[in-house]
Amino acid sequence: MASATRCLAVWLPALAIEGCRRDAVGVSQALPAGPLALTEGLRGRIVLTAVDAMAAAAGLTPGLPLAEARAIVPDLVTRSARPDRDAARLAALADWCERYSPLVGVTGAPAAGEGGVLIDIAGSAHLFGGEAALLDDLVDRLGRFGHAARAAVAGTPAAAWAVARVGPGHATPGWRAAAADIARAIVPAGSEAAALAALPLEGLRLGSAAVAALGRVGIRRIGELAGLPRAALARRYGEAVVTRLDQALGRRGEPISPRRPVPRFAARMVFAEPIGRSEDVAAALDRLLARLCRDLAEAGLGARGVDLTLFRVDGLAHRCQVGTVRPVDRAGHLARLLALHLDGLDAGFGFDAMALAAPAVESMAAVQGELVVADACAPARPVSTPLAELVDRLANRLGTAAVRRRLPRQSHLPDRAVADRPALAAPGAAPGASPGAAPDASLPAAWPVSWPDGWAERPVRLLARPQPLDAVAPVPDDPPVLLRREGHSHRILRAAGPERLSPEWWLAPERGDLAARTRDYYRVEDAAGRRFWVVRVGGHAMGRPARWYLHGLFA
Amino acid sequence: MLEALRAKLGALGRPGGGAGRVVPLGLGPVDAGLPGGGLAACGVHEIADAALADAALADAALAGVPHADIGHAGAMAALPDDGLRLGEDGAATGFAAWAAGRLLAASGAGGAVWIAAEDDLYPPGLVRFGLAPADLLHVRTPRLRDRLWALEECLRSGAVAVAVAELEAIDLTAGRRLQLAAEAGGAAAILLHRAAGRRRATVLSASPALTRWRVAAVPADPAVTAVGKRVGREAGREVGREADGAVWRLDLVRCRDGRPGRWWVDWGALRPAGVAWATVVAPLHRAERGGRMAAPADTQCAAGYAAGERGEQAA
Repeated sequence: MASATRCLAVWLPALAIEGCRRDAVGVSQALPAGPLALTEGLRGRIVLTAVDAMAAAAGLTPGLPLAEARAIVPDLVTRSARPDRDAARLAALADWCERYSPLVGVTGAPAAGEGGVLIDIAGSAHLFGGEAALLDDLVDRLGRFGHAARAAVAGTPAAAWAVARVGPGHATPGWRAAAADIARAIVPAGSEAAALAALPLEGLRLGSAAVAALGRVGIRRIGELAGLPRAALARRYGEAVVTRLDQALGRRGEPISPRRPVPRFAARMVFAEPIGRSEDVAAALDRLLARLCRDLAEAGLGARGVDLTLFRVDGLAHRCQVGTVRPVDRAGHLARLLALHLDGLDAGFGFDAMALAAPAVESMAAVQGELVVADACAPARPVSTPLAELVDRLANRLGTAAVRRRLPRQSHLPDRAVADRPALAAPGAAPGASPGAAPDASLPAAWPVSWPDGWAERPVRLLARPQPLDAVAPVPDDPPVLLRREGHSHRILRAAGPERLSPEWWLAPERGDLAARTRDYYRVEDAAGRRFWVVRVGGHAMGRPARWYLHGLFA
Repeated sequence: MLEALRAKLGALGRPGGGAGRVVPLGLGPVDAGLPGGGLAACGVHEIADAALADAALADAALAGVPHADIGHAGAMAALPDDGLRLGEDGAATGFAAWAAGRLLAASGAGGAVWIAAEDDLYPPGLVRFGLAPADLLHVRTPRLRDRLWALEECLRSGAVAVAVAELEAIDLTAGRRLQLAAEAGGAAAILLHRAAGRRRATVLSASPALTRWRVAAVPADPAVTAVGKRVGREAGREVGREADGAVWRLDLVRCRDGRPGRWWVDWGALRPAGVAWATVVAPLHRAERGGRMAAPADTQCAAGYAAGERGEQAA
């Protein structure tokens, strides 16, 4: 098992300080030159949380109270710590690291200088010319982004982390400037025990209490721990000590918990030179899509959407997601959907890698043949594949909420009587099948073939916000004879009504509410022939002053 | 002979397979006035709310002033100050729904799409005009650019029989683009120009639309339309005119290969099964100005659209 995985661990010890300096670039108040430290309030004192190389050389360490630090280094520059920014930066770097492998996890607290990234490179090292080349590439690129990093490759995540964290030279303040091989190490498969033997216990990610307790009995190195009887060790120092040791030596598996699910269907491509022209990106995308769709077709599956990640040379990762209403294994359709997102994409200095993944796949068998929308009072029109693809294109550019069907639902109130529904029924929903899974129980299983009588009296336009009106009615509860709106009068020549509509009883818990929310609708026609749907709320029967609104327009 | 030549010319002018297909509106005299007896199934049609148009311009069009002259008469015209600016009526929406329903019913497959900036279309009200809620895909997007893009996507997709788009005025280039897209995809586009919310109306500029219509609601005055009561009797029972029966004044302002015209469409009362009976009064140019119609050459036709016929069968 230990030989099956190869894990790369990256330790970013100075992420907080680097983030602070990065933020200061281009800001009017530049950081003054001099030793820099980050501070935070802790139990009524201000203490240092991170120090840069100059401050460390002067003898400052994290955890020192600010007052003492100022006594040692009077010209110390301080900024308050921002753990949220550091965590976000670490997450962004982890996203970027997906250019090496889809399985990337983060570890440690970046603000405390413990932040790092774990990458499973077992299947992808050969794409970069071997583990050593991949390691060099990663550390060099991080260095160019301004991040000092130590990295190691080993057979287990814990071993890789231990070597990166406490390997040779980790305590040297100037290790970054020292020989490059100090910051990168490769532990051959199966030799984890030998590599770890000389390393201090801190590399095992034990609690500080356990490290101190072991230190009191003279055990300071991992090798010394490995020779001890396990049962006694677990009894005296806790189960965690044995667990961590086993994980480091590969006797017990430790999964990297990925930031994102690793898709079963994915394709990636790394370019020798960054590409920036949209034609090049499109051409590369075509090749990726062809690969992905070939894999999908072989498995008889279709993607319900794809994620495209474009890795910029300056360490940013652009992610475009498109969704489809049905499983798709046609590269051309996915390419058209993704093209909507690639328009106006900022390539910066170019992209040097692209990754394509299908996070959700479904069986294509459900789509073969023509699907039918379980529908209202209309012949079941088959939903053709072109229509599904049209819906995809519209929904991906305008948003899924912008494309829908608006179907009737059983309610007396006109504004509640229409409900938004997805543009296409879920695949597999046969016409006439009982919609047991339908979330809304008020939606009937099959629409009535004949229309409800009331629909003939419904307007073609229903105002989202009814407009207040002044109305003159000769007798209370009679239709109005004159309407005034925005300073104009409408003489009403014909009227029909009232049609009294109340909310469903369960929507108005108290009897008084129901009366107050009851509406009287009138269809009226003015002297010019325009026909309106006006509504009276309140009135004589309700025992409160009547208010009139314009709610709809008839054809 | 002449017809054959005309068909040949039409086929030459338009690429696309079934470009010459027409779909009758189901309103007898109106269809008779249209080239080929109906609306072209592949092409752009424009429907404007009459409140948008200055009455004088519409009259000029009917009097035979060439279309181009109207288009350039001025970009803006003040609305008559009789309250029209209060907004629209639903007549243009109703006619657009009717035309879309006919075009949809005539196509074997394909759907109907309604592209709008707002959500005030009310599907239950459209059923009367032959458009079932389940057949209609709603696309809502506030920006004109997105609406034009969505319309073109729909037309080109080949999956849509008719797309209705609520648009502000568009320029000639955009209109021609839409016409090409409609021919390429074998679909019909209906551009619906609404008057709501505008203080001044935009006179429609020149456009390559095959037909342009102006629809206004008019009072159901028996002296003008003379068909008020008859509908009820035909239906087998006496139905008094209430606010149910809409009457539209339908102006065909421009028609490629055809002549402008004016009709009155009286929807009368509804029959129980939901079949709409439209009575169409043939064009009489001087009728309205004279205020009296001597002998209305009216034709009554059962506008039995697909959904309505089903309703009858069920009953």
